[in-house]
Amino acid sequence: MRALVWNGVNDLAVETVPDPHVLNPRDVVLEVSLTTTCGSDLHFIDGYLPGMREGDVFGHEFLGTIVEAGPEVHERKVGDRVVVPSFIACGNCWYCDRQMYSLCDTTNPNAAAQQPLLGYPSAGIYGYTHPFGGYAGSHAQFVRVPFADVNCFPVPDGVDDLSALFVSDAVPTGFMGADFCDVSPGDTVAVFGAGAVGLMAAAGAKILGAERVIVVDRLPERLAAARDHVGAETIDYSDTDSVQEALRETTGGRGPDAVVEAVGMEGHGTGLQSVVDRAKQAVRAETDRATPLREAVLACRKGGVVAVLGVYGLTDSFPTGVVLNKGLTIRAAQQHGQRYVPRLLRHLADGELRTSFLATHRMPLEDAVEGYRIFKEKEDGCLRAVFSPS
Amino acid sequence: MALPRTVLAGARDAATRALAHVHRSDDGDGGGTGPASSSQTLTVERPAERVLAALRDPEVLSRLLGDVGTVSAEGSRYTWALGADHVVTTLSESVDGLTFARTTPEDVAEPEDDTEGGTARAVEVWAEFTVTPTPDGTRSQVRARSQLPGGTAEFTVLYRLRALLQTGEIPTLGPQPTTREEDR
Repeated sequence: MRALVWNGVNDLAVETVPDPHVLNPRDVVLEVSLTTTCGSDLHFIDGYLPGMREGDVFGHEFLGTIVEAGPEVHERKVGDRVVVPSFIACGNCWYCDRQMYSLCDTTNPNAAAQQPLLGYPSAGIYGYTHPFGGYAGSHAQFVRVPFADVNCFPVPDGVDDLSALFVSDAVPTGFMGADFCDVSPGDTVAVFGAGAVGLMAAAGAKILGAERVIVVDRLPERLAAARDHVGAETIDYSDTDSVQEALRETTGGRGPDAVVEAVGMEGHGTGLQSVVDRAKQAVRAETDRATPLREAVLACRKGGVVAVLGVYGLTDSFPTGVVLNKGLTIRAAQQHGQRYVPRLLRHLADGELRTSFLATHRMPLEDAVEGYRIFKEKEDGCLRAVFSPS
Repeated sequence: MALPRTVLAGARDAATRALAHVHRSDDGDGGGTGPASSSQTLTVERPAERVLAALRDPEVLSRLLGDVGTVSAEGSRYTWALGADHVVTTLSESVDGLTFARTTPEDVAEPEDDTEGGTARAVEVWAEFTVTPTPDGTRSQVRARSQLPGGTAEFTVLYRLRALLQTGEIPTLGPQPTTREEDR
């Protein structure tokens, strides 16, 4: 089959690789209909996250049709059109029982490699670094999905492929961030970062009842998307002396009740700390440019919630004292998609949620290298590049 | 099994190194003053008797080893085939666990009398599993100890054991690693 592979830092290619097959009895193989870029891919493409190997098929946000099913797959069948959360859950372990699916205790084949880093390994994920499992990714014509009855969610007839695609990752990740905020009527939620995850966090906060949602970014087209497609207010941080002051002023001096950080380790920013971060990251003295994370902590009201969705490594100068003295609650996770996908598909079917606007660029898988370049450079207003493998 | 080749090679090397450290044991529990051991502990959401039954089963042990090797058994005699190396161990059980120990009288350079008037034998703990049930009996805390350094092998075995007992499967990539065919 054809697939997009990682051959080294900033070295991608579409190549012919072996087809996947059912390996365990609860597996299925999907023919991938659509698969999309994710900002977290850029971290290993740019070389900030180690653990990739030459030839790795990557990609973790996708939907497709089941073409092969193992003998212990009972609730899904060949021909089903399904969307699949990016983290792989077994449905049988302590964490899955508590709906913390991205912490699944049994699906990471390289758990021993990750244990020294995290203490306790995460679940496996498709198409990411090897400490996260080393599973083949979705930027391919076919992809193997373990534990299909747990991880494959049929897409309702009224929901088109493009809308359902983002329910694989961007939508549940963003919605989870909003859910972490424990939104009450009248609340104000600020969202740092207007990429697909940030926009879906903003949309999620609206659905969960936030009175005001304020999205912070610097790219005009993304801020326009936040206003036009989500109904959020916006702040352009590149045109503001202090985001913290702007948020304080617009909330009557109290600050937002919760802040969702949806940027991650390659964040941009202004000010001296941002320059220091950029220099340290360039010489590999620090993995993260964490300006948005620090800003989120500073901007949140006392006693509020900061939900961290961006992918980080090791962050310098994290304002722990601010967290303590303001009594903040920090909540973070990779997406527990299986908890949210059924609800999100219903919101799509009911028209309460719109996602297809995230697909600003569509192209065949053969053009995926160029797609990633456009996505990385945020060229031409790119929010997401979507690939069609077949 | 899904481990990268470098990890597999490392595990085999570590096993070979550990085998070179056959030591004398005077305390009868496989401990003694031999090379440092490592251990890992995981909770398995299954009763202790199921865990112990799995650990006695050579087919299960083979699945836990993955590409590193296979295990066969005749009674309490278990043979671990690790590449070109074959390690023979004897299974002994206690109330709360089981031990696979390697007994190698031929490795004793200067035989000496033991308390029974026989010949002292070098005993090496190959792998030791302690299984402690939770008060309600539904779960087990399983501790694995061996002379392999670092704890990686113990963690890998316990992780796979937990996955197998709780899901019926061991997470695997092979024979479909993400890397190219020639890298397998």
